[in-house]
Amino acid sequence: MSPSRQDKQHAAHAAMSGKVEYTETVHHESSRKVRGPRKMAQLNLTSMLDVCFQLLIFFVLTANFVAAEGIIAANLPTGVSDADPIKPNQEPLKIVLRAKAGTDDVIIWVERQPYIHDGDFYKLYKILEGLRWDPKENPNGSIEPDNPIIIKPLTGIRWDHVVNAFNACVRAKFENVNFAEAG
Amino acid sequence: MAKKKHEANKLELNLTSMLDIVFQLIIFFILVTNFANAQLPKLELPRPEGSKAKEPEKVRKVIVNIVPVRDPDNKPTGQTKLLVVDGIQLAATDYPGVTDYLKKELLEHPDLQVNLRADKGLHFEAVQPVMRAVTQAKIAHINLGALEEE
Repeated sequence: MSPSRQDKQHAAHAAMSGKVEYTETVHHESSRKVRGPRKMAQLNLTSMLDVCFQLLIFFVLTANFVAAEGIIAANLPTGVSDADPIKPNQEPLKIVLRAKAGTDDVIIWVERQPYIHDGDFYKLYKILEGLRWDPKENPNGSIEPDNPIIIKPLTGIRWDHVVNAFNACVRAKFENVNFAEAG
Repeated sequence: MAKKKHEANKLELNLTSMLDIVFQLIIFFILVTNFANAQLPKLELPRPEGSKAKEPEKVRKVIVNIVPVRDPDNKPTGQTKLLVVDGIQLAATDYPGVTDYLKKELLEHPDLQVNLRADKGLHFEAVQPVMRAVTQAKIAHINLGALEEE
């Protein structure tokens, strides 16, 4: 004998109210099933995404990508410093930087060497590297690494060129590089 | 019944993955952004051929900046506009001010180093007095600011 519809409703009502009534057959149904299908909880991310976009736009607009700044160490004479004195047999090597008339370009001249008219500091580096004496790498070099090098920029030479010349000396592994008075 | 059907068909965007990407981008920009520093005014530093510039050591150092005068086209004229020493602005020719500041600092930090940041468009005649002001404070070790090799 199958339970009638009325019996089923009655049993469901009893299950919801927590009471168990005596009937011919007890139909126990889950209270969840009665409430309907389960909904998955979802976070509303819209406002968070808005804030994130605001932050992203801020950082995109304010970011500036620049090359890393570094330093090239220089030891300058202080008058009473503990700088190495010039050895008797060492004569300072002069590098003269002269501005090309009417331009920001530079002409480079290393003592007893040909002029570098195109301001190519790589050529300066190669000249200096050829001059530097090294028992293994360059035994024919005429200048020791601790020999003083003096960079003499004439009037109107940009700092860019001076630093380039200094860097070429450091790159050629000279250790005692100084600047002469401008002019 | 019709309402239920309508609710079931409601279109919902899944924003999770988009949020993930946005977070990744934000983290990237936070890490790479260099915020303005009063000690480092905006200057165009020299970029030497085959630059030997290296990262500065983590020691006490005074940063001396030489800010150039710029023409209306924003090109540096070669002259000094002002000096900025550790964030303090000094007049373009206040070289004794630089020496005095360094002497005071040297008393507290005997291993003091000086980083000289000069715009690449300055004339050497504008930079040399500052270098002399540094050496007059009995500091021989000057670090010349330059960009590292690309």
